[in-house]
Amino acid sequence: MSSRLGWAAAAAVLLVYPFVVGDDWIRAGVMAGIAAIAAIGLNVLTGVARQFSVGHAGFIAIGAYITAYFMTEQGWSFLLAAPVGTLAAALCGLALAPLATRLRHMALALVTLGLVFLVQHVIRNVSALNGGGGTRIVPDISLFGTDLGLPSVYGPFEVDRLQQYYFFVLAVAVAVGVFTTLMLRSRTGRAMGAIGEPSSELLAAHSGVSVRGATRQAFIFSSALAGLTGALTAPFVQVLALADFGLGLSIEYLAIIVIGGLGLVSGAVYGAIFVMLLPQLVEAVAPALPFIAERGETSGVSTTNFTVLIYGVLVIALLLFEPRGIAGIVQTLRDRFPKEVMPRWISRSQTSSG
Amino acid sequence: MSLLISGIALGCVYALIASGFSLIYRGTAILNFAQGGFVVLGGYVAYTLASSASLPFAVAVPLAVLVMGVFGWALQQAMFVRLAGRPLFTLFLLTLMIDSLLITGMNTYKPWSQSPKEIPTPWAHDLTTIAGSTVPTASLWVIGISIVVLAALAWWLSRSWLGLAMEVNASDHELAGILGMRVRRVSAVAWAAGGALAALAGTFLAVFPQLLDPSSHAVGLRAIPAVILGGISSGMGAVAGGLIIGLVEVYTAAYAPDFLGTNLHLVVPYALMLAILLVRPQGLFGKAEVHRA
Repeated sequence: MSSRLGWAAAAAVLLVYPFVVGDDWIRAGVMAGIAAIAAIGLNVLTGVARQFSVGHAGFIAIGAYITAYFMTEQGWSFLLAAPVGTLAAALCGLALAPLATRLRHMALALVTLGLVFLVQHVIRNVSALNGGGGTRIVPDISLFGTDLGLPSVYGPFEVDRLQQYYFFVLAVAVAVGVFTTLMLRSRTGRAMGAIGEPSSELLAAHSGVSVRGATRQAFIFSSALAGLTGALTAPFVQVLALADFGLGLSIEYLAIIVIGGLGLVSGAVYGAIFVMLLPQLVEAVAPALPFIAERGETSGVSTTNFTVLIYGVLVIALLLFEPRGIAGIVQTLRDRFPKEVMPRWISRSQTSSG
Repeated sequence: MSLLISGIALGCVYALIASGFSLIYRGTAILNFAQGGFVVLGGYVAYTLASSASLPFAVAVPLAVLVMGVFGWALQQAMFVRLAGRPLFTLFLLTLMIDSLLITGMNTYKPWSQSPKEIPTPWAHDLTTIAGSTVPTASLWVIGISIVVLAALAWWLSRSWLGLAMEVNASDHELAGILGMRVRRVSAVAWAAGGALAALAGTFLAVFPQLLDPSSHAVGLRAIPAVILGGISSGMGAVAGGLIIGLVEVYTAAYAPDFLGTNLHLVVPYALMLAILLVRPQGLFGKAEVHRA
């Protein structure tokens, strides 16, 4: 019951957020929503099925550049182009799946490392994909005649570009989260969990789970979600730079799922929110820290680099001391406050609500 | 001929990095994704000693190798000892994050990252003529020193209990402990040696005609295809894989047709790695893993 209260509070925060914070924070919020989708995918592959991938950036790049290609060169609407971009990433996952099923765990990390560089090479050299000049300019999303790039009025609410993107991305991310939660509870999802338990592949196989099948499904599922993240990224950031889709991005996603909590949909979401809002947080406290460079200044540590340093240290600390991440910390706190000692207003609200 | 020499010189650098990578894998079963970071850091340490502290090359480089050896050992003591028995995933992520921290840290440290660095050597920018073509004298020394170091390493591993312990350790960690192998000692030595080899490779990346900057990290990463190509379970394989990747890279850069795209030589190692993983996952010189299921 208390979880119902928690959900309501979370929903309220998410709905009010874009109306109370500044543009930079809304932008970070949209990025968190977009990142959460790929993070959920990676968490299924790496957290649940325990296959190590550093290729997420490659799949995201495929999703982003294919979607951008169809939106700009072919003039397709986002609603047509995004599924194609997602599918392209999933197909690439399917193509790599034979390798993924043959070489599992660590070797898969090596294969996906190769993927990142090969995808970069192809995009760098195909001008239809990279837009010719190295940077690809992408138009805004238009949904059934509503251009998300332009301010609109819904009843009493007036929303600008960022706020519209925020709600659109939120809706997509929630749908992905719900779908993944249900998928993980299904036979397919539990098969993925079974092969992911350390050294229990044999057990899984003997229980009738197809180890190869489950690995392949996890791999394709995760590639598709990465593609979807790419598809959403393209029209939102509007300018795609290939350098942003390097190995560093893959590491960022691995950091997200470790910080949030491995193997949990909620963990991916916590992690995405934390890592994407971190630069804003750093920017907010930057005036108090003399070693951080002001915007446009070259001396001192840049905000981006400082953010990477923070989450790098955090991931190492979590791996050493709390491998379950934020989700684990939340769980520990919850266990420490059993229902009996909860404040009365919470327990009352529980009885009244149900 | 000059292509051959520069290919072999690059191959030697790859062989050094790959040997460190393979050594850490054999000693600890960890794929050390931070090896690229070690290489660049080692190069900068050597640069600082040779250039800022103006020590002679012959003193600065062994000192840098020593510093990075201690660094590898310290990392093992601080982190990997605590994590013995943890899932491989944890260890893999840890090395990846250490790498990310090292690179970001070096990018942030302006005295190093501001401009590409060259370590002054006794051979400066001298050229030597071999079989009618001129090659940098430094490249010949890089090849010579690498051969000596790699041969010494192979000899040491074949003669000492450590080499044997590593073989056992890599194939079965638990068994090594039961047999009375000092597992921690082995892993400490492996990390120290990995760091030391990376420092030497990093130095060579900053010796004429090369320049060192944080993006040299990509060279460290391309040693991973070299290890996989040669076979990670074999010391010989790392050296052979390194030489092959070095030669292929240099010749691709010179002769690749235009329609395959610019900078093809930077991805060819990965394409080779994917091919070998499909055809012969254990690598050219590796022993196939035996699965009983």
